Amino acid sequence: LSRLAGVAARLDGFLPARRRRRSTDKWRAWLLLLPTLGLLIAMSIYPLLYAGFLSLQIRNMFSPRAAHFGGLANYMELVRDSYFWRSVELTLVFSITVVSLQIVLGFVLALILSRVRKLSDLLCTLIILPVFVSPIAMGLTWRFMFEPTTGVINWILAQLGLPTSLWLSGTRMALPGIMIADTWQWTPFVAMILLAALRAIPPEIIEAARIDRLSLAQMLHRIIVPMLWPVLVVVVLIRLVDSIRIFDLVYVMTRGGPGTSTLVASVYNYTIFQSGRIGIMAAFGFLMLVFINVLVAAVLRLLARLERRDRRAMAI
Amino acid sequence: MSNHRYGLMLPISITRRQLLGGSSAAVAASLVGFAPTRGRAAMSGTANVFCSAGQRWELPQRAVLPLFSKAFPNIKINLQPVPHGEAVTKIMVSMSSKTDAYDVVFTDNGQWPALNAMGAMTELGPFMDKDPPWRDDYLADVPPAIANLYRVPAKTQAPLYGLTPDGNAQIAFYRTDLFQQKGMKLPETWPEVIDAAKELTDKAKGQYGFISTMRRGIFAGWQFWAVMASYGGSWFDKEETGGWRPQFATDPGYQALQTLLKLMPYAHPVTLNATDDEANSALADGSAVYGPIEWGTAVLNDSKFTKFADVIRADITPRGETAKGRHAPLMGGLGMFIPSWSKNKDAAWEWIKWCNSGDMTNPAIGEAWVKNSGQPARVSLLNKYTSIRPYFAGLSKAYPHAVPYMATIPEAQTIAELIGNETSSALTAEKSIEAALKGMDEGVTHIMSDSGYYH
Repeated sequence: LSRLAGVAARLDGFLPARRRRRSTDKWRAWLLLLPTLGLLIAMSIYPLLYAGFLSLQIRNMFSPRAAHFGGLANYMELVRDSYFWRSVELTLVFSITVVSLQIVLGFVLALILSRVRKLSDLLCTLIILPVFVSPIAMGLTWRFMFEPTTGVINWILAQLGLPTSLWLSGTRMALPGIMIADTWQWTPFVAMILLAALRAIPPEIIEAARIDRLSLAQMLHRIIVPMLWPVLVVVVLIRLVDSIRIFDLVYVMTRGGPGTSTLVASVYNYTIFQSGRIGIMAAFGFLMLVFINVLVAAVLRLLARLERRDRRAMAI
Repeated sequence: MSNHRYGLMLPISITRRQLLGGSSAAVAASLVGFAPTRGRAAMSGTANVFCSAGQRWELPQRAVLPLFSKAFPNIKINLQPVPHGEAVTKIMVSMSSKTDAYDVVFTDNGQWPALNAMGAMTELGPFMDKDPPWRDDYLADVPPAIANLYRVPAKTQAPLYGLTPDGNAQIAFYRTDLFQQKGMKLPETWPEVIDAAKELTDKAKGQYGFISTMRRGIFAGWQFWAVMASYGGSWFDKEETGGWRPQFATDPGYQALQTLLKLMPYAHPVTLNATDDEANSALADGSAVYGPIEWGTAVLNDSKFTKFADVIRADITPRGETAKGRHAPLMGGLGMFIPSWSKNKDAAWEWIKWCNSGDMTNPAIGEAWVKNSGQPARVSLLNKYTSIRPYFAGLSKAYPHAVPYMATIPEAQTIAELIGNETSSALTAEKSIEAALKGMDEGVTHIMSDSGYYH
């Protein structure tokens, strides 16, 4: 880098002062950008392009010599694959359900915490703990807790006289089981962010609402939610993208089964990778990239529209 | 008993000539005797060993390591265990990258064809030939059907790329006390298994007469394939040019799925999401009492893990009741190879030889291996330690009948995964038996076509 800077300085000597200064700035800017650009190209752009190349190849990791160009064959195979559509459907169901649950529960939790005066810091610290647990460790723990004959969940249900369930070993309750685990882990994250946003609302606004004798529901609808919108949009986006990409928890708890009852997109793609079909895996990755981008854009647009509507309502 | 053992106790007289002759002989003998030790001491380096974590693979290696370090003080063995479920994928990716990070890889025999296709393995023949008595002892003790899994192609006389200190075959685990209580004998055929499972199931007591590792993917795939093999089925019409047509939508395939479906009402609740961990736990805690197709494990004969250790016994897996029916437990096991890119092959070989030596190099090695959850491929060790590991008797019985758990082609892993997924769909009634078998045939045809088998 110092050599490059030396060359840049020598080149400057041939230029008029003003142009020289502009040119030096330009060089410096490029020099400063170079490491980041290099990293970006090496870690992001090149792998993306290579994945694009792989997605056009018929290539099995276990028989590399048979690799050949396949055009769009991998994409066509995915489009015709019923498991692919099943995984997309399950991913949507999972993401929409857990994000909705986490936003609602997180919001309620944040509201409760915002009213707690004593020990609120300690409570916040305790509540945020699940976020720091490794998903693998958490998945294994939940797997044992959901075990149908020896697990603690069924034991508690039985003690309460409630019906027990097969949980992860049955097709009906496997996905809800994973949703419970995911909600347990990520609701505190949502709650903490919303709590920070709640605490940032100027107290005089809340005071004014109380003087105007607004009910809690009115206060939520007219004041709190509209003022939380920017934060809510960010939280929903983070959780939505995270839940669409969910992998570790599902993989550890059910590996996509029984049958296809928890076969979310990332897990299905990983099983394709495990079976060595890296061409199809890359094509799957590209389709998911497009899908996530379209979905995020749609959600952003929807949230922006709702925000505008609420702000208008608040202005009235 | 010969007298020479008491030689020092006998009154003897020695002439000076005899004394000098004896001393020279002793010096010569000691020089010869110590020569290998000097060679061992001179050998140096670090061997990084990739292996699956925990019982059977990591723990026995840790147990024999102190003995090795004493014999080879200048060789450092660095064990690098990974979770067993991830080991296959991890090593395939590592070997694709031609890494020199590992000097010994202890992995599944099903990977041998694919690893060989990558040029990832060092031929062990020249290493074996350096010590003919050791080589002959190993090849005489490990059944050829098992030793050949580590050759490519898997035939005697083909180049040897790995040695196996870890034999395995599917066996039936059962509770002798309950079978005796009910006056039942161990089922021989699948219809008998269904009857026994029904008889042994008592849901009110939380007792189930059938358990199996039916988790989606390869776990379910192996179980389906085991039952299909016992009905005389095979993956392909013929494994040569002009063949390679999948044979899942056939009578054996249908009978296998139908049998498994008939067993579902008596299956332990964890069955459809079970790997070996869950199945072994269920047998250990007594909620499952009969697993007709389980992989070998020491934990069920270990009183530290189960209070039923004294009554859990193992035997050969059932056979199909049809004319083509046979006992066909799948043969598993892991072997050790030296990656082509290893920079310390001599040290790596010494470690492989040590782990595979049984009683040949030092009986303490075999003992440490077995007592620390090892499951040897050497028949001499199985027979020697049946008293402390009763399930070894089941393994000894299974080995002669066992069939490779995957076809010996690079695509086997992909196919096992696919048939497992279809099996899981059939067992959860997402698909009919016919649709699942058709899905297997179509999927496998596609894979084989992509790999150029039909050109």
